[in-house]
Amino acid sequence: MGNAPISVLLANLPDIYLTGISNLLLNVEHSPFRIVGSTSLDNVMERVRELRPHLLLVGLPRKGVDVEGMIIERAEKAMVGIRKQFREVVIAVFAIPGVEEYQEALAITKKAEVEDVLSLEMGGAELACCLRQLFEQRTEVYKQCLRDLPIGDGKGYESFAEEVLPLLFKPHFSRFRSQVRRGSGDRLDFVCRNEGQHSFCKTILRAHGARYVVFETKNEAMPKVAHLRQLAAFLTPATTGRFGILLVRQPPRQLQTLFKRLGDLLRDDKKMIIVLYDDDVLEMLDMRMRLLEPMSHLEERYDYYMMHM
Amino acid sequence: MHSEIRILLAGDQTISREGIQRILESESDMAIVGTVETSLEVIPQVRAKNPDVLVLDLKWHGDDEAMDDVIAQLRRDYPKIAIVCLTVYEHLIPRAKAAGATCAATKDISKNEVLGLVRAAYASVSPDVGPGELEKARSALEHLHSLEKGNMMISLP
Repeated sequence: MGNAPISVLLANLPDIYLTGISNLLLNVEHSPFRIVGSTSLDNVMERVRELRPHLLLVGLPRKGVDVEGMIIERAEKAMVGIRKQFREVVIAVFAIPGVEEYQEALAITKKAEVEDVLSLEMGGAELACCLRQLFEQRTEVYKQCLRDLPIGDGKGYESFAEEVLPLLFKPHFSRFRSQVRRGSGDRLDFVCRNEGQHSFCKTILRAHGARYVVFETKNEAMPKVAHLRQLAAFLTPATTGRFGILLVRQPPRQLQTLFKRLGDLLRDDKKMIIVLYDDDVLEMLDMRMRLLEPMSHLEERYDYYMMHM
Repeated sequence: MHSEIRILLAGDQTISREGIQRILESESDMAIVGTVETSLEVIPQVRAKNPDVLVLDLKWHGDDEAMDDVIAQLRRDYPKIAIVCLTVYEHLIPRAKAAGATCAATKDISKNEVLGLVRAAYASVSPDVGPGELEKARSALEHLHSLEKGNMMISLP
């Protein structure tokens, strides 16, 4: 079993079910789950924004509680909102099979593109298996999405990165922000905070003062010197720190030339840029799916660059 | 009150059984003496464990009436055991009371209400509880329930 857990946020569940689901998920053999919190419907959007869980499990009310349908309406609205803003979060709803609520839950799944309706009558192992499958399916979707994404579609590549980067690097990199404008007029594709716990996070903090990590995405076949120069200029010790990652689709034909250019550009400033290609992203998604830590891949790439630059 | 309330927990739904068990066993005055997952085992386990309180689910494997006879028999043969029924389905609550359950509620009641319900039910049957204790337990639970929002249904001892 790997060491990168699947984070779960629970919403709108009565105490009995909240306690039951939490304990079953945590106590299943070799549990891959981490319960990051529980919330009411009122705060679910804020909690998702703050915690960016992999899975959001929402309880739907029974008719006796929700006499005027207000709660179900709020639940639906919240899930539609979350689906729009946080496409990487897998949403599943809990309902009781065989009753009216279950039919209502099925209707919501279509409107909010909810991934699954789970039964409150499930056993612990069955529930864990279902959730694991939902997580794996989402990861597979991203792999296919990258394979299908044409080179040149800059917006599509940015959107892809916006969803995939938190999936790969949270919780070690957190608070992902996209299209960050700085006073200088620069616009950074993505910036996240380095939480400094993983060995690689410690390395880049020590060697490059990387309190933040800057990502630039270029949906182009190969990295160009202009890309490297632009990202290098964004890395400043007083703000982001000196570590950045460039995402492009394929490696250059001459890797040695890339390393030489990077060396010339960065050596004197203690700056470091790693370039990641589709193969790296696919490999990391695969690792994440197997609950392994994609940060290890990043660490490997970093070591390789350090040796060859 | 008695130092420890001995509770037998019976229900066919793993998630709610696990949740109720964790809620109850976190209290220092409560002890789970057993759990029952099949309806046929309820009465034999009551006989074997002799609990103070039986916390019982009402609908088993889709059968609304599954516990009617069980509750009636327990009430007849074990009048000193408090029977607390928890269910998803409101319409089963009057039915459980009619069969002889001490109290009943829907499963969307709060953790504190679950605990209050078990304590009040225990107080209603325990010889160790003084005459004022039941009223105190009931009042506390009624007050708590009045503070909760929503339409959770609760039927007191």
